[in-house]
Amino acid sequence: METILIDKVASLLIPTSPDPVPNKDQKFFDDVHEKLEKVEISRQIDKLQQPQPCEPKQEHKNESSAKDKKKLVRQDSVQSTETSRPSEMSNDLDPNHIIPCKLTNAPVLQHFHPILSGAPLETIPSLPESSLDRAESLDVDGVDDKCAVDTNSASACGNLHAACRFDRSERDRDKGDKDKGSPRHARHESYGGREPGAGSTPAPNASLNASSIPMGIHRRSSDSDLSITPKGSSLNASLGNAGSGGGAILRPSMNSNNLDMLEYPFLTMTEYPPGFIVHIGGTVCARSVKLVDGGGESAARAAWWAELRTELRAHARALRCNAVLAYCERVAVREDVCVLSASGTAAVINLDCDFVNEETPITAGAGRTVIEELEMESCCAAHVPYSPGVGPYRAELAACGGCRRARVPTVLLATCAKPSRLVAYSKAVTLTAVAARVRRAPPAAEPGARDISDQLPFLEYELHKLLLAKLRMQGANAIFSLQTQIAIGERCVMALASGTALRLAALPAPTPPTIKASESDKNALEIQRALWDAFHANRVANGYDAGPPEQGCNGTVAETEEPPALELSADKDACVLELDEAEDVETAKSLAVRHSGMQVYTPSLRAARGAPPHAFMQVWRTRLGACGGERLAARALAGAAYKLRRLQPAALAAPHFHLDLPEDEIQLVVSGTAIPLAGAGRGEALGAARPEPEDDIFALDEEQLAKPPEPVADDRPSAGQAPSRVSLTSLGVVAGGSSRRVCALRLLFVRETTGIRELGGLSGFLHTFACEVLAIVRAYTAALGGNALTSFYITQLMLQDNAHKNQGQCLLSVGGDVVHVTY
Amino acid sequence: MYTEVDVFVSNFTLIDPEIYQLWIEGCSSSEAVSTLHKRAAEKQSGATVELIASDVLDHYRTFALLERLLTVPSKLSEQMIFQIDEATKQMLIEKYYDLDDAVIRELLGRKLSSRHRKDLDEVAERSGAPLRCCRRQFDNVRRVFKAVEEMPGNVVANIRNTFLISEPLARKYGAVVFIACMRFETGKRKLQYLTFNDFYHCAQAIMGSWTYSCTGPEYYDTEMDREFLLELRELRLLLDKEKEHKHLVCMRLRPKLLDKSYQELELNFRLYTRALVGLACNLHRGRELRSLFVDLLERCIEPLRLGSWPKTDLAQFLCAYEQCALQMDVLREADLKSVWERYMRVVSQCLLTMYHL
Repeated sequence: METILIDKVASLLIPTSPDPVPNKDQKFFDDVHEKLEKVEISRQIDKLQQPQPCEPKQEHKNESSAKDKKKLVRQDSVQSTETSRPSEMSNDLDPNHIIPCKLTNAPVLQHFHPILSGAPLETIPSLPESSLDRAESLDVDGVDDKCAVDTNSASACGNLHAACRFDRSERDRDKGDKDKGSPRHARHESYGGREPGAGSTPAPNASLNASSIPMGIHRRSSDSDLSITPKGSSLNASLGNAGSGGGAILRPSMNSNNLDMLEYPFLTMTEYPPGFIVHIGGTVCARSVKLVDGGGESAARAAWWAELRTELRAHARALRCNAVLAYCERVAVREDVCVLSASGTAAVINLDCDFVNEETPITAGAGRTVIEELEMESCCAAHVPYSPGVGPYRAELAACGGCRRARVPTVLLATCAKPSRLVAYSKAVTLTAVAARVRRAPPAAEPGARDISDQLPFLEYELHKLLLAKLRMQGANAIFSLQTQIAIGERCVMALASGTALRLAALPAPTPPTIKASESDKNALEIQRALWDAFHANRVANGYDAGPPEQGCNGTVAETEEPPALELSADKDACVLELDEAEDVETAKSLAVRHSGMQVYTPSLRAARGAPPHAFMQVWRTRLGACGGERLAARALAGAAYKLRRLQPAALAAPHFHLDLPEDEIQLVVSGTAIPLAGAGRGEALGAARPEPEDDIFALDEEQLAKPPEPVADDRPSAGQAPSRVSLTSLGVVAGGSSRRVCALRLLFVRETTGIRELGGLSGFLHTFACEVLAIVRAYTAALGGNALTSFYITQLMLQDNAHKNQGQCLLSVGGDVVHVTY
Repeated sequence: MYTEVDVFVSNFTLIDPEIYQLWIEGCSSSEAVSTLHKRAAEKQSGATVELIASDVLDHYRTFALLERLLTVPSKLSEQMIFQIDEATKQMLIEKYYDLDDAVIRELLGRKLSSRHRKDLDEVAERSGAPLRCCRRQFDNVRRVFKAVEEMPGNVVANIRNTFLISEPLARKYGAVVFIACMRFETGKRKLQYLTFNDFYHCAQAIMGSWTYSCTGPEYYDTEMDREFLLELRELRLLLDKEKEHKHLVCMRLRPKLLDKSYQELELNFRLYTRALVGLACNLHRGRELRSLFVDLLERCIEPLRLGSWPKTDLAQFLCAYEQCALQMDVLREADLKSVWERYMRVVSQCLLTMYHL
């Protein structure tokens, strides 16, 4: 038996219900929207568009689907919970990067329906976000999310509305929690380039106390809002009127001051126009552990999220930043314990930047002034927005390698994409890190929640330590598109971080990790040597051993060597490995192992024109313990590279990882896209010594010139037929073509089989199913008039089987933006 | 490492020709993995067994899903599950329908019914190909045969249109179908020395000259031209003029043949001409037609072999034999010249093909 539950939103197709009443705060978004729209016009990024809510379309293949659907529909109910905020705050400020984990006994999610066969659902479809959106529509918070969603414009789906919301936050994987973690990047202030009267109060301890909130950016205290938040009716509204959350219409009248008016200055987009990001403060994250028991109210859950947002905002403010970019909310659930995470990149943004002005104009012919401007700005994003020595954090700062004046952190972690003007070495590396801890208490109820709460800080610390060590081993000093994820299993809890490691020219060069051990320890010395060898090999392989990339047309060549004094300061930070325990030795050894995966796609690589991007998904599932998460993640990258070998030359766009711990197994879903490149060795040729912005410029020019004469016959729909090919890509754009956005697409599938052996076991079942899902996605895309799906994502892969009954079930959700690409 | 699920699916289905070839050849997944691993080790590509195994399993799952479609190749273009480019589709079909000469030689003359599918062990044993591979080819031949058996028109064109395979491959299938339709005896022990290629050329010659020549909806080129076969009976006249015929042939060949062959010819002309003409006279009988290859072997090839004729001399002889008969009045008077030409063209071709030294 098969059940397919499809729900799809084609915003273009069906007009919809009225937008929520815009309120004052929305004005900010109006402005943003207005400006961004201009960018969009040139770039065709219409994701910013407020999605038009519309009626969902559902197809029920049979009655059981109806049942499923019902289950999926979540009742958002939350009860308000009181948490002791100040204590967490202090934790948070702790340089050791303790994550604020709140344990509340307050009841939580009520109707948490397992989907299918009563297995616990790993992720709660929905609630948190949707309820919040609705509840706080006044605060524009939800709107904010919406307007900035760049991976998929919020697609509303009728009954599944809630679920969709949730998924988005989950999927958006702008994740990143790093925040608290890296004492290094985020912390201190230096330098006053801060823009719009942000952080006007240099209170070093921007504590998150509610009372202190009014200080920086926000005039409007959210705390008052918090109390107001619970608006019971809002839930109904959200259910009744699909997608209205996304419906706020932004009106023009841009003014940076509007940012201050905003309660939560959070943007969920991951890429921004040049000049928009003035400084990156660092990744910020807030987590809290909650107990979900039935019967809560949505208001309470809204309050949970409000807490996290408020906290996040405070983190950002402590970093003297006026906004959080690539904001993302995620939930991990096991039994009745759930971990809520909100994360993003604290940054100083400039709303007055010229949104329309792309980099293209800055060419050789441009006036001297433009060039100088670029020169000034190219390293600006890396500068810390705070001044050294002030503030609650101990941060390692160095002089900027670009301008030699401002201060930069020694390591930069960010959940957003690299600002295009920031000069980096051309080679990027995909990094993953997995940390795991055993749960010591029964998985459910208060003991379980408390245990997780206790473990989280350690888990995050380990994750962070590992990630930084790996980063350093690669000779890189910055991670962008960082996503982190917590997975709760029956007996253990894991955290996975992945991101794109780069070496920024502005940041000091990393030194190899050193082992802290006594001189006499042979073993330690061997490891140390292995580490150094691997470090140098990686550096050479990545091209990081060369001098910093040239600054292109303006000819400023930064000096190769860092002032020694600062090197020293960089040395004493967290990259000293201690070999206290057996695992430490293992970890250190594994660090010395070199992995060669596929080349990472960066905008400087030239995609082959007309060659469609190649989206893929990869699912591994194995017994927990048979294979650690760390190994699984490494295998995932190696596997993708091997399986895509026939595509060479190609580069891999940052893949998305989903880690799940169903039962006593571990499941890793990797979805990504391989981009075929223009010619063998092309990337290398462009590589080593050139800064990315330059490459971008010329690539654009050439492409524009060369476009008309190169029609690609294959992609043209032949008369009267569906387009012959539909490409899927997890990126926001299809390289080498201009795209017109058609609408958002989101599909949810449930399939059940009673002949799993005949299908070749669970793998065969999933293989067949996944192939068909992709086929259906393509068919929808073609039917809606598109020939490609951008921002393709896969979430919520649940796979279950009952070998005795020869049964299997699978739930899978996919989506993206339908576009028509003209090559 | 025990892995319960390991699945890789991409938007454009990637088919590795190397793995596909192994699958076509009937390798099990583990055999394929070990083969590939050996090759990878030679190339020093550094791929681990785990990766190769995972990749092979992905491919094998895909092939299992594709196999249903390949049985009706037009479906491969219509289906939407796998996004495959045209060149790859063509490759998939072509290789799937590929014929292994050793296997198809064993299959020739077998009844193409599903009952006989079980008996393929023997085929596998004798051809040296894995059973799976034999099954695939057996099923393919059977499918093709069933599809075009009753279809009017040119059999090769029919096969090409129905199964979307290349011209050379379609010709092979055409020959197989033709031999199966005619129920030519090919399995006799004596005939074992003939390869599939020999039969292929013979069948091509017969199809070219002895079937209904105008192809249209009314005609089947898998059917013999009955009228022609009946006319062949008239060639008996030649036996009466054997002396004249021999004289003409000897005159013509004396300067061209080796002495040894020439003497052979002079001695045994009667034997040869009786065999060749006698064959022609009996072809209108179904049984005689079916045993065409056996008769050619027993009555012509074997005596020729005894005379140890070189192949070139045989070609000269056949050519002269045909031409000289045409010069004789008896054929002209009976209006049999075209029939004679038509007959000799095929028989010469068959004899030359079957005459292995």
